[in-house]
Amino acid sequence: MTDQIVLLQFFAPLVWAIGFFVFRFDSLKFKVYALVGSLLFLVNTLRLVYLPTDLGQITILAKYTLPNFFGLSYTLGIDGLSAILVILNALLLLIVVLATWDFETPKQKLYYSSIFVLIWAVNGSLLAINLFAFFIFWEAMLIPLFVLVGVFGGKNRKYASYKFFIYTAAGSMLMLAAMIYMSSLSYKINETYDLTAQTMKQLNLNFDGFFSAQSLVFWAFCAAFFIKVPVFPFHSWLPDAHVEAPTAGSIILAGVLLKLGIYGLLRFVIPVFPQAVMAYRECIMILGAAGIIYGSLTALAQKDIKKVVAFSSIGHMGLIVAGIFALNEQALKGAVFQLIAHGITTGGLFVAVHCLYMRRHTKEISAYGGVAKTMPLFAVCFFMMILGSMAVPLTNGFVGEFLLIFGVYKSIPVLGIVCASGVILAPLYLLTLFQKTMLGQITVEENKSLKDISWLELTPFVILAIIILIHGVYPQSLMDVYSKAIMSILT
Amino acid sequence: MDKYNFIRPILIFVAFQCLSILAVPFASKGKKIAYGANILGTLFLAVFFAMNLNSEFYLTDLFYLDATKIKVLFVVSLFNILISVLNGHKRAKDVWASMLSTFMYLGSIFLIGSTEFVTFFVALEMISLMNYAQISLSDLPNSKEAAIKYYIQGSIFTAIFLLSLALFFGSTGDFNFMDFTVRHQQLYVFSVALMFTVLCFKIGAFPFQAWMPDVYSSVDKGNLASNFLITKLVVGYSFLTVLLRLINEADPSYQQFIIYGVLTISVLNAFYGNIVGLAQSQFKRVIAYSSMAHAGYMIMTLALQVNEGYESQLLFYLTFYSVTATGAILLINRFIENANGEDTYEALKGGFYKDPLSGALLCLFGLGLAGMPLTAGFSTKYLLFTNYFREGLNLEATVVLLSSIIGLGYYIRFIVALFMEESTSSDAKVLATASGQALSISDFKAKFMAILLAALVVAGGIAPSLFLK
Repeated sequence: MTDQIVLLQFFAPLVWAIGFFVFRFDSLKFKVYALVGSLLFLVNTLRLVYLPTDLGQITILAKYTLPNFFGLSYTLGIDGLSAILVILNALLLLIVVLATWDFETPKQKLYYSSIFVLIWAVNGSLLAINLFAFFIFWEAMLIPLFVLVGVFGGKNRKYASYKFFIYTAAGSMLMLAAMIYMSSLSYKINETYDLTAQTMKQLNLNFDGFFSAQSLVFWAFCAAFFIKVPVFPFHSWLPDAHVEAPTAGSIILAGVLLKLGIYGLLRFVIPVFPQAVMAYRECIMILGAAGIIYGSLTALAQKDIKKVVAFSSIGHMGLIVAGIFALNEQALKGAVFQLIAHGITTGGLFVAVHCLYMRRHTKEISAYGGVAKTMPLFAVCFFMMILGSMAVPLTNGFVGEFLLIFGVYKSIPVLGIVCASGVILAPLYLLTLFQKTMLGQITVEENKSLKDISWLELTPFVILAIIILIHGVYPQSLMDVYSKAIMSILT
Repeated sequence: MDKYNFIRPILIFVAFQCLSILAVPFASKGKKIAYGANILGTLFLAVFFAMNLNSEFYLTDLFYLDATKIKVLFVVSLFNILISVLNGHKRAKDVWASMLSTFMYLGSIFLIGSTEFVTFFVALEMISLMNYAQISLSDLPNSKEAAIKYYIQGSIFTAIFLLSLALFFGSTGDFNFMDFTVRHQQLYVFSVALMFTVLCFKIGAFPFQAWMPDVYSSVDKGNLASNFLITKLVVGYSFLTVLLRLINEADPSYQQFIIYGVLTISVLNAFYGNIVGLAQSQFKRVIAYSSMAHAGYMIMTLALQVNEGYESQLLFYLTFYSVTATGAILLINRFIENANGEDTYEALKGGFYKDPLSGALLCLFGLGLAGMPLTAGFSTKYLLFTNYFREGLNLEATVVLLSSIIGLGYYIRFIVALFMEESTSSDAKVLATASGQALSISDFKAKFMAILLAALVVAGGIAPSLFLK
């Protein structure tokens, strides 16, 4: 396949986004246009993923060089690691369009175009092989998400969007400084400004203490990625963003955006700064473990359903961070598996919150109770997502968390025990949430007349539940795609 | 090439401008003739530059235009034409504004091509005087006060510049800044330091920035081009390249001293501009303070070694900064005009929903000024900072780069106002254009100009190499 065709496929979501402003459709036609776009994008992505013969190494798909601009380039490529994440990205776009079908807004053009631009930028980051292109798309994500949260969010949307923007942009600036520093250094050594993980590694930055070049650059990159993940204590933007974001924003945020932080660590930190990673990994693993305990305990105390899911994300991501810095095969495989599992289950949980919110216009746990009596089908779907999220055997969450805890224990046994105990807290807050909202007697009058979910609302749950079960029962189907790629990072 | 090949088109251009000055007093037809002659004269020169993009022109040792400078003048002439068209000829004031702009353009040709300080000084003064007059012609409130403030402060710095030239002559025995020998280092360094303060004043850098917020508040369509494309691009470029050359000729011990000063001013500018910008309630003042921060980013170039690559990269930075800021001010003015003429947060509220195209483009310009990727603002920032890191200014460049995080705080206010706020006033004029009614000529011209500038900002962001070529 030629570079041009790949580029055409790559820019398709962006072109589709412009279409929202070009065509004069009514609300339904806009939704159909978005659905068709998301289906085409999914098909397109699957075609792209099956293009390389070996997903164990990076296959260059397209390259556009800027000859007079330091010879920098936009290089797009794919390996097993990016392949599974681009599929998740495309799948979540479809889920978002289906799940928010009933979401009506007079600013529909802006709503859908922001989603498509966001998905395009995420895709760009995942396919970018060189750091320059990665950074471009990494930053390009900020604006559509800022608009999604700030325009279509809840009451405190402006505060949440400001906070999200400033936090992530601050991290990005540190990464930019480190990137330009390395780029100029690379020119002196390799006579190229264009940085890939490989050329970055060849720089062999000096490491002899905190203020040495490798250490400072390592922390600059980590700051950007830790904020995005987010790793405790850089997490404070996430609960606000999740709570205020519309469902589409929350699904994409939890589903793929947070994963980009982990992806960045796997692609541009762990293989590139070996000495700094070895020197600081214990400290980072402790932060990860602290995130699990903090996220889980805080989730227990929440009164807002979305906040429970948001804090549970902090816990889950903490475990993944601890896992990737454990630097062993089990933990790394588990971390990537858990990335996908978390994207699927958390996406499902946000879809569930959306269903409840569209009926009652509140996310307060106390406003519900006994809902399973009036919405039995929904309760089953909700429970399925909760099972996945609390890592019950035969669900995808179990595979990821098991491997992660095993890997962390193998590396630092005490931390393994802490992570495991933190994971035990997950059923506590998730089952409490389910019990308080779905079970028991109906105490609030409005809940007696709630309508169960329609077939259209059921569709995203069915898609997600099938994936949860397939990955839970036959995890090898997913692991086969990324195992080789992840092992090449470790070596 | 024969030197007279260059003189002839300049003389024809001047003849056109003389015709327009003479024609203005003759009622409405006079205004039309003046307007036409002004545009035709500039167009003539633009075509001449376009046909000689890769040529060189020189006049003994006084004047030299290389291919890069001709390209700059070509860009400036195109924008000068566009701004003149945008101004129209309804009122004598509009025609005068365009003509002043054109004379500034003439000054730019001499400034950019000068190789010695006498021509440089005369050209600079020509630009400055026209600029003072042009600002006083603005319809916006307080423009007269801004023009007088600018004029008085400008006069002081003219005196300082003259003193620095005297010192330069005393220390080198020459006015030529392309080829000279320093005979007295201390005098020479003092002269360079004084010139640096004049540069700071001219580009509105801290601590000589007091004129800038008022002047930027008075920028309307009449003086739009001159305030960015001429005063920033031409004056900034000429001054910075001359100073870069002069600093490199200083004794290494003194050179280090000047570089420390430059770096300090650069860091202070970046922080001062960004922090004070946060506190502004008027959008045009925000652009003024962001301009100070940008001045900080580019002043750091003076700490580098002379390199032709740096000069063209500086030119790239200045051109795209000017294009982006011009686009931003053009659209802010459009929103202000439709909101009772007041530059308040209210003017931009819900702007995207009232006029999606203008709202989206203003957002793009805001992001460009913030240096977000996929806009020219990012490419230019990347370019400058790569040079700084390459030359070992790691700490200073990192600090200045981090200061831009503060700047993001005020740039996103554009997006917040345009996208996240609902307008409380009924802006009939803008709503009318947004709902599909026929655009007025003025609307059409402004939108065309904004689209053109936005296309440049995006092209400069995605494929900067096209322009750096």
